[in-house]
Amino acid sequence: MNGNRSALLCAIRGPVLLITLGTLFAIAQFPVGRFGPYSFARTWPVLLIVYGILKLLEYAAARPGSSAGGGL
Amino acid sequence: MRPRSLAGPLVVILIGGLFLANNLWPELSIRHLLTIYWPFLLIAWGALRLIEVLVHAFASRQTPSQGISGGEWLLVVLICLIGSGGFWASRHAHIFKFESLPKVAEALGQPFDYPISGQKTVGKKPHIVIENLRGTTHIAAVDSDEMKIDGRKTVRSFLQSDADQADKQTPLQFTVDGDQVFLNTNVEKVTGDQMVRADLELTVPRGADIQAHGRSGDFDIAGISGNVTITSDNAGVRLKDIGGDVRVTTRKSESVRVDGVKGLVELHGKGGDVDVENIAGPVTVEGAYTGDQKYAKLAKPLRVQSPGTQLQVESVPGEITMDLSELTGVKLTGPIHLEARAKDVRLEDFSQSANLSIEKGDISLRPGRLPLAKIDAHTHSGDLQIALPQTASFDLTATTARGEIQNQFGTPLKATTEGHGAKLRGATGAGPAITLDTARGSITVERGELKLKSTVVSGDGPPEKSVTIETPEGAIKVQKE
Repeated sequence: MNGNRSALLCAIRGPVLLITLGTLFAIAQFPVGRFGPYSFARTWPVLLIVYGILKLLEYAAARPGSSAGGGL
Repeated sequence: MRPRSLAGPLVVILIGGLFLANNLWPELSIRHLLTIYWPFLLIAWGALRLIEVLVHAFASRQTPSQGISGGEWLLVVLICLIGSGGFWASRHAHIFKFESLPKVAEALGQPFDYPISGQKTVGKKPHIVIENLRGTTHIAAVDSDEMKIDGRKTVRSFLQSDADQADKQTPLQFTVDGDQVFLNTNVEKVTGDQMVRADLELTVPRGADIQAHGRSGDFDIAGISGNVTITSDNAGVRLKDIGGDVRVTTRKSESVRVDGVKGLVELHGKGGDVDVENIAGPVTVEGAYTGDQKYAKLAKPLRVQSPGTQLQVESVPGEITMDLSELTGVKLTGPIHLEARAKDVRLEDFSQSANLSIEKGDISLRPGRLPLAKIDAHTHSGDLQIALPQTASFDLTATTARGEIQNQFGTPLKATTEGHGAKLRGATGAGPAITLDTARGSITVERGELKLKSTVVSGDGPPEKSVTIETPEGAIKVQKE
């Protein structure tokens, strides 16, 4: 069961990162509220953070006897 | 076996659809839409793959090892590079000055020319409607009641017979009904491989009203004393010495140039460069013009409204030049009102009040004339600089929330530090309020030079023993020893 959940998290990593990437580029072209637009050169670390969170969830799901959120 | 994805076929359908739309409706400007909205393609792609992975996982209890393959990531990187490069290029299009590429049908084949001519009596003040969708239209005015058409039709085709047929399909329509004159080159009636264009040289009565419509090619109109209305898709527009009102609507014209109009000027739409000079009536420009804009010698109010900029000036005896990132105004009459998203603004030698609000950009002000009027300058992120004449009376308040203030004016201004920012206050005489405000950036207040408003006004006898020079602070008489 844990292996399945880990595999699922691994499989959604790509699509989630792609959506994040698209959103960051969209933010770079359209202002949010009265601030921005924020260029991709400034917002790219968000990609690392999202990647880190996904890896953390995978790690938590792969640990035997722990719940998905346990690692957090 | 790895489950096949829907994304591949959908991308192929999407690309095909975009090319088809571009061919069927060239005015949609698919390329322009793609340079702006391409990130949503990535979001949609990611969402599609996410749904696929989830559906697959819950349906078969088996998940693919990875949601997006290496090849797909390569494509994503490519899209990002091209997309951000294209967006950057479209924002800085004025650097490249792209000429529109000729179409295949126009580039291949031979040109076959057919003469166009016609002459009719139309009266002194006819209303002339011109439809010439492809080709240039030159219109000159003469003191006569006759309208004369000269020019040529060019058909690009592989065979003479095809060209002859295309010529027959596009007869020149030239009708007069009372004071209504209708001229249509019908060049769009040819379908297929041939490309037909008509280059016209028209002479019309000076008192004519002109209403013209074109898609590509230029309009060049001079010396008309009536009104001129132009609807143009890609065509460039050049108007000179027009006696009536001028109304121009463009879709993506490379340049619009209007010089010498006695009535009002209205410009709507999208395009590149705009040059409006010597206008007696009010000037209104609404739309997205991404090239260089120049407004000079406007006697009545100027109003410019574009996606990133709103500008109102009471009159422009000098000139205003601006592009997407800069605005420079010299010798303006206020009240001046400017709101802009991202622009460096420099105003020199302006009178009456000024109200500037910029989100991102530096502001530099040199009000040249006395007495000063109310000035309100606000930038969210950027430096502020103002040069005030030494003898001017004013009540100044300058605030920066994060940054420093340089007081080069000296007394009576006093600077204080507040947290990360600073404040400068002070007044001389009973002058108008000058408020400068930036959330992030430095502020510099300096003494303006004694600027000569005009040179020699009068001289006493040759060679001048004394001359009077008018300055912003009064007249000075200079005696020659």
